[in-house]
Order: sequence, then structure tokens, then C-alpha cells
Amino acid sequence: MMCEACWEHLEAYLDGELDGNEEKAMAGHLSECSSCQTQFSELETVRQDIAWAIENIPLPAGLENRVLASVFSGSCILRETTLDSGRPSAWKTGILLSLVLAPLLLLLHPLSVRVLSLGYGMSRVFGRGLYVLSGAIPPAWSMGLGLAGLVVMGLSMYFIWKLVQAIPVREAAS
Amino acid sequence: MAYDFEVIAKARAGDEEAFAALVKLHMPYVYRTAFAFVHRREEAEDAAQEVFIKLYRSLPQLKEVQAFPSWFKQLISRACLDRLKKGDVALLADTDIAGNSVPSVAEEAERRLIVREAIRKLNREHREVLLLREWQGYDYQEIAVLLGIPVGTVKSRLHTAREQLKKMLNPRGEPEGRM
Ligand SMILES: [Zn+2]
Repeated sequence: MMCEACWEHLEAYLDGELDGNEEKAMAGHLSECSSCQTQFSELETVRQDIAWAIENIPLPAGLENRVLASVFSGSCILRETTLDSGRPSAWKTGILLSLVLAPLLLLLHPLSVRVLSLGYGMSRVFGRGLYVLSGAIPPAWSMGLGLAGLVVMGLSMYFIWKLVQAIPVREAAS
Repeated sequence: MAYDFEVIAKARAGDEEAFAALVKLHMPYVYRTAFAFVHRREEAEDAAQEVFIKLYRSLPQLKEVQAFPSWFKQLISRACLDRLKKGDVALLADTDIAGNSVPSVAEEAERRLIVREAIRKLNREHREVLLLREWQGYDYQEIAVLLGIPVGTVKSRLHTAREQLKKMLNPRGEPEGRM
């Protein structure tokens, strides 16, 4: 085996990812080529350095007890930072959603149907006015307005998505 | 990590004392692994807490106690990877390391801090692959599955991560002092 081929497989050899024959060839070359052997031991040193550095990370005092307390208290006080801090409970989310949706039922009342049809007529007039107005606005302006509208739409969709994500599925199921 | 399968079986059956023993036994590995990934004490504590809460909830569903080691290791890795993905922990200063590196620390301790600092300086993609391979001992295929990337990408990222780490640990190409 040549040194170039050896370099190519050095990491795979270290990681135990070579098949039997390749592994034998590598071992053979490393035993007789000191420069490749040096490279190999450098890689080994990196691995040992990492393990040694992590094994010596100091443990915070009292961590076990804090974790056990939160595990046995039904894990309600899970102190998750930033993203999860404002997570609403399934109950709250449900009540909120029904509060938002309940008024929609009122739309079925005859009076609201009348109001709606009136609103429809007015919105047609409004729409026509808007159409005429839009003809008067310079194209660059309307383009800008359109883009701003798109951005706002995108943002609101993002927030709705975030809200849906925040609903705790596990709690809702139990 | 050492495992006590009798304790695991008891904890699985709902024995709280056994579960506490499990936490005691595995906390060092869990916390240190989390710290190596996120490099902030509070974030690592939260991750450790999350790991054990998940363990408590899902341990009763583990069928084979013998499967615990690899199952638990994956639980730890996924919690760490999720945290890394969620926040910009990679961009935040490592206050613990900075706070510890007073001039009077022994040379060995200083070397450890340098290695940890070097791991922290890697970007998220490289740090992930490096820790999964070098610290947690997954093979290429397992890492590819955990990260949802091809094996070829695992290899190339691992190679870059190692090169960068070597460079940071021996900036002028000096021979290794340790060993
Ligand atoms: Zn050679």
C-alpha cells in the first residue's frame, strides 16, 4: 500500500469502518511507515483529548436532586428556557379556540344574515371604489403595497404555525 | 457507562428508588454530554432534566432491558441535537470556561479547557458529528440516521471537524505535548 492510499483510509480505519482486508492492509502499512503512524496517532490523540476534556467537565452541585424533584412532581415544573416558557396548556388552548370560534355560530341567526347581505352590498361598492383608486396609484406604489401585504401574510402564517406547534400534544392526549 | 440491569428493570416497573439510583448513576454522562453539545451550564442542566423526564415517561414502554444502553444513548443524543437545533447556543459565549481559566490553574486543567474551547468553536454541524463519533461512539451509519444526512456527508464533516480541532490544538504544528 502507498502512503496516499493510507491517508485516504486513515480515519475510516480509526473509526473501525473498513472491511477485513482493507483493515489488514492498513495495519500492515502503519506498522512499517512511521510518517503514516504519526498521523494516525495524532487522530487518536484528538479522540483521547475530547474524551478526557468532557470527562472532566465539573458537575453542578445538587443537580440530581433538582432533576429528581422535577421528575417526581409530574414534570410540571420543567424549566425549559426561552422557546418553551410561554407554552399554553391544552385546556387553555381549547377554551381560547372555542371562544374564538363560538361567535361564528351567531352568523346563522336571521338578523346576522341580513347584516351580512348589507355588508356584502356595501363591500361591492367599496371594492369598485378601490378598483378605480388603484388605477390612479403609480405602479411602483401598488407594487410596494402588494409586497408589504405578502410580508404581513407570511409573518402571520409563521405566528399561527408557532401557536399550533406550542400546543402540547402529549398533555392533550392524556 | 456502566449499567445495572436489575435497577433498570425495577425502575421500569415503577420503583422510584430504583429510578433515583438510575439518575445518580447516569447523571455525570448525561450532563457532560449535554454540556459538550450546548456549552452552557443552564442549557446543559435543562437538557439533562429533559432527558430524565423523558426516561421516566418512556421507560415503562421499553420491552427488553438489554436494549437499554443503546436506547438511552439515543434518547440523550436526540435531546442534545434538538437543543442545538432550537437555540443559537453555538453562538453564545461559554461563560463557564472563561470563568474558570484563571492563570493559576494547573497545566492539565488548562489543556482540558483548551480542548473544550476548541470543541465550542466548531460550528454546529461539525460539533455534532464530532461528538457523536468521538465521544458517544456511534458508527457512520448511525450518525447518518440521527442527523438525517448521507454517510458521505458524515465522513466529510467528521474529517473537517478533526482537521479544525487538530489545528486549534496545535496552532503552529507543534508535536503533541501530551502522551
Ligand atoms: Zn505511509
